[in-house]
Amino acid sequence: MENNLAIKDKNMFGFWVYLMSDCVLFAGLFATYAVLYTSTYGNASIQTIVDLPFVLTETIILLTSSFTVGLAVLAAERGKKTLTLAALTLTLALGLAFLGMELSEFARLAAAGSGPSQSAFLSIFFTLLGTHGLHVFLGSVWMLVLMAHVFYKGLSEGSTRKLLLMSLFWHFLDIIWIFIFTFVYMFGAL
Amino acid sequence: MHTLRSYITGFILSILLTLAAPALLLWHEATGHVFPTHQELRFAFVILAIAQMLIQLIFFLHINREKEQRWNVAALAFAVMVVTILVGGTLWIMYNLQQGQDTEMGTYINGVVTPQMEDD
Repeated sequence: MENNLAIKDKNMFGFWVYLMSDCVLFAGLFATYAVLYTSTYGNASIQTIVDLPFVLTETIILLTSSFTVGLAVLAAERGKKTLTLAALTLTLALGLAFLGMELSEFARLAAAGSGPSQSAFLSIFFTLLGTHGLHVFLGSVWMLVLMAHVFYKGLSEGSTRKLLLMSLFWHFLDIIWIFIFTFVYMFGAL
Repeated sequence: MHTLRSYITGFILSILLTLAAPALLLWHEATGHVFPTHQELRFAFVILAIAQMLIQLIFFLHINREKEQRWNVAALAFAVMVVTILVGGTLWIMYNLQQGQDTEMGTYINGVVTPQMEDD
């Protein structure tokens, strides 16, 4: 298993610890959401915001991108440069599609007079989803940098390891989204 | 663990679990909110989310019982503990604060500080 070397890596453990601390950041936001979600101050509530087919599409897009980033890692471990770049391009496209949908939801809410300053609920709704969206955006930038690296310098042990770290980050964002999907949208649709 | 098979298995399972939640919700609405009940549905959503998290951890993040994963698992366990205390503790305290307010509908929770709160 060529990958065992990378798993033992200290970088890997350090990055994992970062991911776990990011987990705690999101836990704080989720706790705040749980406390404030009824505080709508007469403005939009989660029941009026939730659009199940829309959010289901977002979820499927993000899950698929989690799968394709895994394919990129597999291709990189087997030294297939073109396949790696193709899988990364697909992942990036899916990530940007997800971001576009999230921003369109934000824009729709803001246009309807339900911006983040209108109620405590809307503040935490925008903060929780926005923080996740910001992570997806930064992950996309990281992916773009890695794609350029692989494109110009080719695959190496170093670039494969960086790719593996980036994939961990991407899968982690997927897990956070699953919790947003469940506790914000599914509970909200109930 | 880094095999195409593990990624495909994880992908299929995660899609199925994602679709299960809205499917249960539709079932709930189709039976006129009788079965599954609100409470059962909430419980099912939480179970589905945890199952989804475990699937992602095992098939995508490759967390397993191998020796070289031990420290990653320890960090994960610690994070789970902190998250449980943070979220559970917040809900517990804020629920009790809301119960303790004798003013109209949880004014503290709604961001309006009552006169009693200002004295603290």
